[in-house]
Amino acid sequence: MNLYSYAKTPWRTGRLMRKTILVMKLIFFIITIACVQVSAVGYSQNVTIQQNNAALTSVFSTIEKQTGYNFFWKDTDLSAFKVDVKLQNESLDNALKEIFRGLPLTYSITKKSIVVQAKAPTILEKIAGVFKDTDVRGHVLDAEGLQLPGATISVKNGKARTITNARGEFLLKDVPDGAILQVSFMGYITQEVGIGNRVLEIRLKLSDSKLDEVQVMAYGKTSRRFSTGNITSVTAEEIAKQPVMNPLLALVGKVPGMTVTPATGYASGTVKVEIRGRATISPDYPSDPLYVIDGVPLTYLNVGGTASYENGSPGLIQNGSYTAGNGQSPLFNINPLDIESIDVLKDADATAIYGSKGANGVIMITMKKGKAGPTRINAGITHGISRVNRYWDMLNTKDYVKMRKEAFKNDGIPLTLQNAPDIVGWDTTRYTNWQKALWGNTGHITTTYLSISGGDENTQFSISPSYRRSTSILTVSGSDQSAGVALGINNKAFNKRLQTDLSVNYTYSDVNINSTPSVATLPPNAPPIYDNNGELNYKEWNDVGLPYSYPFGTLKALTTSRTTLVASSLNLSYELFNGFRITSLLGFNTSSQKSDAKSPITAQNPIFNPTGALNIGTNNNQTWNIQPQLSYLSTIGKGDFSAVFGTELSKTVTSGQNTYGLGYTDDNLLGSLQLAPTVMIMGDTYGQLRYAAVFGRLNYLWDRKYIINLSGRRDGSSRFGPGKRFGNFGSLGLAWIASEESWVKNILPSFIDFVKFNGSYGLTGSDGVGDYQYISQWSNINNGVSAYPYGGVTPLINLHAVNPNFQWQVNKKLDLAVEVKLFKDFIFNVGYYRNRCGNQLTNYPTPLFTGYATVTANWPAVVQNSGWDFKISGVPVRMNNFSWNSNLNVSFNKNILLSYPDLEFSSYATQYVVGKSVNDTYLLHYIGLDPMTGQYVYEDHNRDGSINTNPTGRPGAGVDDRYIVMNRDPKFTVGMSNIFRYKDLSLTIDLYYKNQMGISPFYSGVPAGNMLNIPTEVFNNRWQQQGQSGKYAILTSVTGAPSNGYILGSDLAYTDASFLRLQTVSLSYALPRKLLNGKSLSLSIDAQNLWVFTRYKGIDPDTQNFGALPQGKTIVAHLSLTL
Amino acid sequence: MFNHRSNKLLLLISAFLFFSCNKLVEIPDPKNSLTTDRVFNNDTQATGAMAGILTQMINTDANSSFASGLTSITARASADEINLAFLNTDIGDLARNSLTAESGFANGIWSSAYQAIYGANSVMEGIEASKSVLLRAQTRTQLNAEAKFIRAFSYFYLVNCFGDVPLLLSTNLAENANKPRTAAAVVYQQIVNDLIDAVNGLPADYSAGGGERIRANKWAAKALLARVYLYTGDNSKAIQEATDVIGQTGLYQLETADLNKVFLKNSSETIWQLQQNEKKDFTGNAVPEAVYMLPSPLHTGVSGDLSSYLLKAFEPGDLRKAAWIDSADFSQGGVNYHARFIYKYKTGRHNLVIGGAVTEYYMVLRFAEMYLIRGEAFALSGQLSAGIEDLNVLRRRAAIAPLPTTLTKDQTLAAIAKERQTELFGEWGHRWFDLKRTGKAEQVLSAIPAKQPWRGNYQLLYPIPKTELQRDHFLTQNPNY
Repeated sequence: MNLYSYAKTPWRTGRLMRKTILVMKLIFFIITIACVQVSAVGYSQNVTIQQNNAALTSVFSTIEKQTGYNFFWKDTDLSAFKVDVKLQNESLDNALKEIFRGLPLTYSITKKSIVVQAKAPTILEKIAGVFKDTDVRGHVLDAEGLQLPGATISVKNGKARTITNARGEFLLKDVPDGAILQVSFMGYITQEVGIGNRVLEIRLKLSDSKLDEVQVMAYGKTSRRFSTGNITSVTAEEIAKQPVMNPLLALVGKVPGMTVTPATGYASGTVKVEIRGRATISPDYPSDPLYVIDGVPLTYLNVGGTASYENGSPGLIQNGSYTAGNGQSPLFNINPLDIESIDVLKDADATAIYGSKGANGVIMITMKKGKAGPTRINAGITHGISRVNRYWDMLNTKDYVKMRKEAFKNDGIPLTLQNAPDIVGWDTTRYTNWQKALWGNTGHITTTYLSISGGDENTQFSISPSYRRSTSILTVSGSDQSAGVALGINNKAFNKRLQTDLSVNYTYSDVNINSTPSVATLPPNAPPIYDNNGELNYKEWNDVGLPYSYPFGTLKALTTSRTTLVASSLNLSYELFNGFRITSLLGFNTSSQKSDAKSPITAQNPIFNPTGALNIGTNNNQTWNIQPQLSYLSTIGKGDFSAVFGTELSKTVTSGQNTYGLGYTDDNLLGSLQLAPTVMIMGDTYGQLRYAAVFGRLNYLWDRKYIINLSGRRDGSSRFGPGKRFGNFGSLGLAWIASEESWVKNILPSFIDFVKFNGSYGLTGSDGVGDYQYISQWSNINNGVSAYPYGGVTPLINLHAVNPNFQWQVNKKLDLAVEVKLFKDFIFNVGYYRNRCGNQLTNYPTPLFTGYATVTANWPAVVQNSGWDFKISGVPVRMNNFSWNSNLNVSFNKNILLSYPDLEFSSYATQYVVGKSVNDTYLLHYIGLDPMTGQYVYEDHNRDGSINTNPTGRPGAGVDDRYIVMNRDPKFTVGMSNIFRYKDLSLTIDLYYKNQMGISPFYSGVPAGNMLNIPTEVFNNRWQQQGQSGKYAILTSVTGAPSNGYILGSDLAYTDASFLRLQTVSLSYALPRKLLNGKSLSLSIDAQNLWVFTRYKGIDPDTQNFGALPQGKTIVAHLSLTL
Repeated sequence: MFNHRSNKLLLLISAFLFFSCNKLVEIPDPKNSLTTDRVFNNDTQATGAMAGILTQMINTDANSSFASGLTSITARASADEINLAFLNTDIGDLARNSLTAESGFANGIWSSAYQAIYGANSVMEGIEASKSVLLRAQTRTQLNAEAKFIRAFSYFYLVNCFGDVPLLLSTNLAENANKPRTAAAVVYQQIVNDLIDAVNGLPADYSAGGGERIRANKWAAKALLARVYLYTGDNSKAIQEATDVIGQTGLYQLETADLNKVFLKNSSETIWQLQQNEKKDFTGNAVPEAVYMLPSPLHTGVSGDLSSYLLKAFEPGDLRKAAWIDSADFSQGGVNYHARFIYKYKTGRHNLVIGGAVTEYYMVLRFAEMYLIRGEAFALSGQLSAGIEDLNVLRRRAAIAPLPTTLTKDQTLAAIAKERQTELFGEWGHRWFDLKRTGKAEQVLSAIPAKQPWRGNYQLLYPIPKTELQRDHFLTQNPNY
């Protein structure tokens, strides 16, 4: 046996061969160890040698001479060993110990013979021993002592680089003595180590630098330091501090360039999310980004609902009664506390790999995973309350009556029961504050959760059941409840080559909603909601001749909605060889939802002899998604190279039914459709969408300085007709970490330690046109309205105009950014972006005489969104016991219609102007109140002697006097979050500022003086007599006052609606771990939407939704225990 | 080795992808709808397409389809049949003769008639494109003829409301989207051609509607053709077509015993009715127009108010006035009103039942009109006594004295106009169209106080919906709007 001859076998001879040899060698060693481990017994004979760099064999011969002992060695070439020996009259025993110290040899003494052999090797040495001594081997461990695959090991100032395998092992060849290795891994501090005995165990430390925070991107991970794209990460910690039911609401103000607006104050309601402005001119397509949960896109089709740009997608409720919450947000069903991180991908570099789906940005949601270690139990409970923040300041009854009487006096009309039932018919001393009566309730929020997780090095698990309940601030509504369990299992097997990650998230939610009557303007002396018997008080309204006006019927018409959502993903991945993995991601999401909307007889006016109705809507959504991928991680030259190549197949089926039971004569029967005298199917919606894609990404990081990131996708979507289905998308991202250049380093002042320039350009697409639009479809239900049989024949109606030729809408995105880190703790990031969305897919308006009002078609218009993002994060104060962490972001977006060929010939001619925002509206200019008549006066811009608006003509053209441009998009937004820590106490304060124009609460289409309550502001500043200047027009009881009709179309109706919102305040205290024996207990008080500072006078400057249920403020106490 | 193996793998994957990509994004036809070729694959489905057109025409609220009430509602106001009181703004504009391009009430006539035309065109095209043997020749002929009838019927109302209109004979969007207006005479010619084809292709009985008179037959086509010939001055042909229909005594008789039976479903006076579906919300078993027309509660509720011009036109003892007009007393704003309303249909908002038994269908073509058409055509072509005799058939039924055959031509024509007014009042725009085609519109309408100031005859045509002008730049507005 000659060990060396095998070890010299070149590396490339073959993997299988090498493996066999390795195994043989290991067997040999093990046998050797077993056979020859004999302990040495020393002789007390002394030795004296002083030699430097002496051959071991010559030392042996000296000892032989001095002691009479003989050395023997076999199969071992000792000639290479050189030793420094300095022994003065040492015993043979000690002398041998000294000589063999540090040598990979062992010796045994038998009588007068000393047998020298290779040392019984340690596990590491066993491996190391078989290779050339120019190699360095070892393994890399993470902060928790677990093997770390994918870490880069390079020789400082040298060429050799490698990457650890699935077990964290590495081999570097031809490493000169004295070399220094640099070991790095995303999120960890890069460590430099000497090569020592060439067998290393390196344990990396987590970096606490913001630059090294891990960011989730499409099909991989990156860090701020090395990313070429624009990704904003929001951590579990930031989410957990916000007592919100829907995790999307925890993103408000956290992501520059992203607006998050709940449609209503209902917890389950939809949330409109828009990243970097409106890209599409069509008013029918929502701006929702793509949501990806653990790698699996959460897709649902808009088949039955009323999806629009303004309201977004109705989400999970598309059939049945979805009016109150505007639908249901799918993410309402995800417990925010189960989320590990949310990463928002904005630019082409980060999103082009999602091709068609990425045009509106991508929100990656990563669920929490189990961690190795003893089983940990984390349990928590939060309980809190929510209340309405602001109320309108409306007139009390005394002023209201005065207001009404003045209005009639101004009109010269006597008050009668017919024209003033509120004054003549009702008690004018009665007073109800309707807002408090309806919204005055205290909502309660309770969340309990438990998380059990743990595992060993190879298998980890996590089981997190949770239950959430919230009651609304509506005085009558039921509760929203949600229960769920998140499961995660991760396993590594076959030498950690096979990696299995399963995550399943199951939730069941039960939502109960009453539509809120619009109550702010209700006369304050209107009769009470309920009569003495607790029934709805229709009678008092009927008595004064207002049978249709009683607003509270909906309070007895409850809508319940029950939803089950399962989001699951299974990721199987196998490392074929070092750095090369084959992965298959399988995703399956399903949701099923049923809503019952009851319209009982008791909720309707008895004089109309009503019958009950029941509307049952069902919605089902299934998506499967398969993403086989190959990934390769390696080093090339001085750089790290990674590649992902994959395919994606997915299929989504969304379907639902909308069924009405009519004519119930008894409310007790309302539980079932079977008991309805008449049952009608009002909608049977169905949509199927298939995607097939090939995608790939190449990333190369050279010398930790230059990064190139190339991604592409060829995407096919069933939403397009044959021949139009495929589109190509891709992006190029580049980054230069200038501070790594020595010449830059020399120039830079010492307080700047990181400078990165990055940019990207790419194309993404969107196909959000709905399904089957390219083929002619016939059905007996059209737009959710059932076509009734004719002559007993089931009718078939052609559903839409057909254009088989429409194609992908393309969004070209350019991004440029600079990132600078200075004073160790501060990172500044300035980014510019410009997105141009062309080939606009629109419901193109066609003349009605063609049969339809619209047809799906592309239009070569280009909408541009451009703007700036600023981010600053840092630690302004860092002391022993006290620290202040702060994050600030500011973003500006400018939206313009860049080009629109033949705009004047399109139906959008009345709406859009090239060079202006697509969200602009055109208004008359208000010039003041006529001091003689008390009427609003507007500027006759074209001086033709009359004020005209022509909503069907071009603004400002012809007779049209509108010329003021109004845009309600935010001019800029600022988000700021602060964490103050003092010992174990921490205080989080998040602020959100939005600079925008909004609709003034003081002007309405109905003039003040009608049978509607008005704000005290209007009352106090009304015009009363000739010669007086006032802010608000003369009171009138007449509906169509001459100049009032123009109010909403004039700049008078708009006002500054900027606000600063105290988004989150959280004070938490963690008991010192010392006291708890390693366990932890923390207590916190979290508040959401606590205060709004604004000059806007309405209820909510963010939604400006007059009369709708406002967003409340929420305060909860949170107790969390970890065992 | 790595290169070798992975190359193979990559090759395999790419091959898989590039050969099967198209397959992967193919989706099956939608489950809740059928594609055109499936619709015209067999008799049942193709008949469903025809039922689709008819249900869209009738099963809608009265003020949204030209064929469920809108034509009657707007034309009554444009003519001299109703008072202005209690009308909403839009229809008030019609009654006040103060239409502007922005007035929207007539827009529904335009869009619903063109919707029916689109349906008719798509049925014709679907049949032509279908190679299926399951779609039998007999069905093809009948549906084709019925589609032509519907197309002609729709264009008739478009031409009479709007004048020149775009003439579309296919569903091809690229071809249709930029159409200019076609001269009314050309449209009339197309109407005549379509009706002749319909006469030839439609069955002579009511088998298509299972015995109910809810699908057009040969006589419906002839009845409409007779009207079109009268309107276009082709008197001899009008006489011929009307005579053909009048000759079908086995099918058609005037209801003489009880005028309340005229508007019942499948009455012997029915040539063609549209069948409302009794399960429809809001209208139930009532005819949609009746829901709009009849007050609720019947004798005390607010509704329209018939004009004194109409009421005065009835001769004393006219049974029609008693049977087809009723009154309601109510107060509004402290003022008491005694209003008269059309009571041809007896089921309305006050007594409708969703899902209830149906007694009335919406009368579209009525046998009585045949006598009026033929009588007028006779008179115009100089055969006065024959004309007066036709008129007297209806007068006898109304229990008013027959007219002597000694009347002059002008007297005869005036008597016919009056008889049309009192027989067909409130129905399908007859009064307004008659005033316009006989050149009496300005004289009669400009004298009505509510229509002052008379802004000109341009209001005798409705404005083309404004959005249409924006969407099609070849379209022009009617003058003076």
